[in-house]
Amino acid sequence: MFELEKRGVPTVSWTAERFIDDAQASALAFGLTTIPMAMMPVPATNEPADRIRQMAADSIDQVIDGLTKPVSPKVTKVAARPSEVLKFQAEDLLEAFEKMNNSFLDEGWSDGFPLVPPTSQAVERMLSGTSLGREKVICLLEPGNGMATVEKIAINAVMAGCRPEHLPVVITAVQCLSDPKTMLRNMAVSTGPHAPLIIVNGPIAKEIKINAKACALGPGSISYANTVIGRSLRLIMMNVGHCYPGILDMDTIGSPTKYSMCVAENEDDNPWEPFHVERGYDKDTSTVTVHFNYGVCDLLDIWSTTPEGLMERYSSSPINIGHVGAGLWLIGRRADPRYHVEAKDHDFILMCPDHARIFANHNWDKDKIRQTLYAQALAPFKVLFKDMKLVKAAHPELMWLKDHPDLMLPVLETPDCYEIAVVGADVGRSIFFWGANEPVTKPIEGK
Amino acid sequence: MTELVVLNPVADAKTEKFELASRLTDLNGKTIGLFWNAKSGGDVLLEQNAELLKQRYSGIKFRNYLGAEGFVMRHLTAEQAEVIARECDAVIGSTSD
Repeated sequence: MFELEKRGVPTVSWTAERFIDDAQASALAFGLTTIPMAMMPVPATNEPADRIRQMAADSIDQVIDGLTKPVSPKVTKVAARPSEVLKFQAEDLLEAFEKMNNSFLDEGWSDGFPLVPPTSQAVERMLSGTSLGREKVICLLEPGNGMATVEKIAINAVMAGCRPEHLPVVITAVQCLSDPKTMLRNMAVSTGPHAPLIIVNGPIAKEIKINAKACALGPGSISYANTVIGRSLRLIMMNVGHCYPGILDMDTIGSPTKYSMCVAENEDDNPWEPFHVERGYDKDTSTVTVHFNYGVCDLLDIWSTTPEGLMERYSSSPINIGHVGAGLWLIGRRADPRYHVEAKDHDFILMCPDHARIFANHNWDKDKIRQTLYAQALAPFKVLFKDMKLVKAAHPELMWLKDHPDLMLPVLETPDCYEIAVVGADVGRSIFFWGANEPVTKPIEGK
Repeated sequence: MTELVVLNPVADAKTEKFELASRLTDLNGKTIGLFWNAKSGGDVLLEQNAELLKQRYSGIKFRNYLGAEGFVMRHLTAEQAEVIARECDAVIGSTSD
């Protein structure tokens, strides 16, 4: 709609009540003071046709007004930034700490856990972790187009509990977010529980003690670096990208995975080349990969001694029909036309070392695992997707499928949609993530 | 009394500002685009808009558009926006939510 208004075409957008603030915040992010809306009490999704028609009838006057009458800017709940420095007075520092945290909760700047006060001294210490200047703008971070300066990233890293040596990883993770291939606006504003998984490779992982082995995804003291780096990225998405829950983060339920997810690859126990080498970097280059995921699935197999045995269990995981990526390829690809990018959806396996060894000892490489997953993770067309209107829009050549509802089809588009990194400790338990689009990897700079 | 002084964590937004399009004087005889992003229910909503507006305005016409790129959500592309701008006087959009 914004693109049409820019071109001089008046528009009205139907908007459910819960999404009004979100639409208003999106208008601001796209450079408009407001966007004309017709309001419906609930989304049209999951509503019977009669109810949808009634909602249209109830608000059709708003459509007419929006197209024919001047539109006034609306008040928005988007977080304001009153001043660069905030002061909290109290009887003692602990009380001042509580006041600061309560204030940040009221403003919507908190992830819900207590925040470390970003004093100028703490931020100075944090900035010592990078050679980049504090005013350097890393990116404009969507969805709110916040200016992600090194300083703002450092402030949020302090709040998350990061140490200076963590900052280069955090900055690189922000660079990954801002890569158009990440499609951050879609990941951030969606009604789905998109959670960024951070994977660190190369020497820096050990240097700054990012856990790659037991309990790498936390919680616990041994995963301290993992926890705070992951947490900082969420705070940055909120306070720099303005992706606040209920305003530009329209997740229906949310997810614990959105608080923090960061691991290092267990390169010591990886029988294959490291994940970042697979993606074109030298082994000695430190990298950060960010991949948005929806959900976590335990992948237990303590019985198999052969790849074929393991694959029986592994192949069951992608077949979660409720997951948005299942059969998605039938109706198109995730896309962001603003940047001319599109992507297949990828799932991500964090494979425990003993499973990886079984594969490697039988001369299976990752490609063979991917090919086998692709061939074995199948579901009938009729349960993968039923809306032929959308199949026709994306793949008119596949319309013959409507006469073959029981035909078994791959859940993901191609074998390379399965990503694999070796993480964790032995004893036969891997993790499967139902993922969104493609992972993005970048080298760490500014150490 | 003691004072805790902290730095504000919120970044300023940087966006290119622009104005809304001029509104129409009335809808009689106009061509209205109905833009659907493919999310379930939005097509029904837009069809009903057309039915309701036809009852009120003479000579009003409608053209349907489905987002050119995407999947569960299909997006308007710049090329598609150009086409719609040429073909329509105004647009009603639905993302279903």
